[in-house]
Amino acid sequence: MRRDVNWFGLAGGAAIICLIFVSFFVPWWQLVVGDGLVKANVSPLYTDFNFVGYWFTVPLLWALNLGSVLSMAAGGVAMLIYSIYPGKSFSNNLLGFGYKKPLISLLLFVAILVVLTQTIQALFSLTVPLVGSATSVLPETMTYGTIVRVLISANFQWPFYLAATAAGLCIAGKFYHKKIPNLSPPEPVASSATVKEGAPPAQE
Amino acid sequence: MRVLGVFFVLLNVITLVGPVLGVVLAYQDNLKSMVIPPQVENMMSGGSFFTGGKIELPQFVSATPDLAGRTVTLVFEFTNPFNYDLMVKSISADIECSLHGFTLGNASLVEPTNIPAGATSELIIRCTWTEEAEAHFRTEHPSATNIDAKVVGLIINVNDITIQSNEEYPINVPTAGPLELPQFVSATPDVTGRTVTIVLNYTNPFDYDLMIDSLSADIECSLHGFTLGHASLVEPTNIPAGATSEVIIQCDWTQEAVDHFHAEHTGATRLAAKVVNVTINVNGITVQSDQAYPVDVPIS
Repeated sequence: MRRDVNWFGLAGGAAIICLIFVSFFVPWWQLVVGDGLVKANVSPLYTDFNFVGYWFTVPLLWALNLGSVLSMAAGGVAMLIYSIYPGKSFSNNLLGFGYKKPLISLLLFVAILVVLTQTIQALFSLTVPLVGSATSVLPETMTYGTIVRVLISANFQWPFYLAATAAGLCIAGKFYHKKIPNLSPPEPVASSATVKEGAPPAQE
Repeated sequence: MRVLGVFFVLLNVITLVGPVLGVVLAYQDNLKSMVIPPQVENMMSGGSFFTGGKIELPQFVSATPDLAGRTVTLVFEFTNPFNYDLMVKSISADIECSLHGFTLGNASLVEPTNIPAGATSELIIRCTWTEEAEAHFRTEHPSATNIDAKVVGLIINVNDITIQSNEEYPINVPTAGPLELPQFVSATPDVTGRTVTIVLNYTNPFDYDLMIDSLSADIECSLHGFTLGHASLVEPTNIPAGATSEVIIQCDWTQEAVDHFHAEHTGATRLAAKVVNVTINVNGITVQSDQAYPVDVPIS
C-alpha cells in the first residue's frame, strides 16, 4: 500500500534540522572589521563576537538564540512528523506550527540587520554595509582626535541561503498539502443540529 | 486537536520566553552584564583583553644613515599587547626639523611586519631626505651629525585599520654630514717610478664604524686634465666611529702618463694632480663622487 508523504515538507523539515546544526559553526551573516581584527558572527541561532582574538557572546543574545534554536527544532520535528503522516488528524496543526518557522526567522533576521545597520549609521555616522565592503571613519569622539579609518566587510554566508531554501521548501510543503490525496476530512464542528450516529430519525 | 493547538502556542511562548527569563534570573544581581558581558567591560578598562599593559607608542631604537641613498633607517620596537597577531601593513609620515619646521623628507615602512600576540617586534622605517633637506643640513646645521626632528602626519595601517595621528613624535636623526673630504697626507713612488702610493686621512663623523671595502679613482694632471692612471684601495680599511684613519690607495701610471711627464713636465719632481671619478664602497654602500680631491704626486 502506498503511503502519501509530503516530500516538500520532509525536505523542509530536514533542512531546518540541518540548518540548526550548521548554524553553530557557520554564521548566517558575518561582519569583519579590518582583516579580522574584529568579527561578528551573527545568526538567529548563534551569535558571537571576536575582538582582537578574544571571543565573547552577549548573554541576552545567547538567550534569544537559544529560544530560536528550541523553536526551530520544534518546528523542524513538527514538519518531519507531519510530512510522513500528512493525512492524520493532527497533521494540520503540525504543518501550521512548523512551516512558518524558517520564514519568520529569515524575515526577522534580515529586518533586524537592516534596522541595526541603519541605526549605527544614524547614531555614529559609521557605514556598516549589509553586503560588501566600505571604509568608514570612526567618530573622533571615540578616537580622541586621531582619525581612524576602518575597512568593514559584511556578507551573508551559505547557511543564510540554506535558511531561505528551508523556508521555500516549507512553503512549498504547505501548498502541496492541499494536493495530497486521501487527506482526512476536516474535523466536524460540534453543534446542536448534528445528527448523532445511531440516533432515531426525527419525527415529522 | 484544539489541545494540540494550545500546546503549540504554549511551546512557542515557552521556547522564546523561557531562555530569556532564565538569563534574567541568572543575572538578576547585575542586569548590565546581561547586555555588556564582563569581557567587554574589561576591554573598556584595558584589562584582560591585553596580554599585559596597555598600548604604548613604538619605542625608538636606532637610526642609521645611508649616505648613498640619502636615507636614514629608523628602527622602532613595538610590543603587541593583544592576544592577537597584528600585521602592520604600512606606515607613512613626514619628517620635520624640530628647530625650523622644515620638511626634511618622508618616511615609510620598509616591509609589512607581523607582530605576534604579546610579542615585541622591530618596525623598520626608512626616511628619504629631499635634496632641499640636504641643503638645509648644510646651511642650518653645518656642524651637526644629529638633529632633533619630529614625525608628523603619521598614517599607520594595522590589519587594514588606518590610523591617522595628529600627534608629533620627536626623534633624533643623523644628518648626512659633516662630511669632510679626505685629507692628503703623502705620496710615495716605488722604485720603478710607475706606481705611487697615496695616503689620505679620513675622519669618521658618525657614531658607528665605517668599513671602506673598495675605492677606485682616476688621477688627473691638474694643469692639463690628462689622465695619468688609475688608483685603487690597497686593502679594506676600518675607520672607527669618530676616529681618523689612513686610507691608502695605490696608483699605476700609464705609459701615456710617463710620456706626459717627459713631454709636459720635463725636470719636475712633483706634480699637482687630482683624484677624480671616485667610486667608494662603504659599509656595503657604493658612493660615486663627482668631486676632485687634490694630491701632490712625485714623478720620476
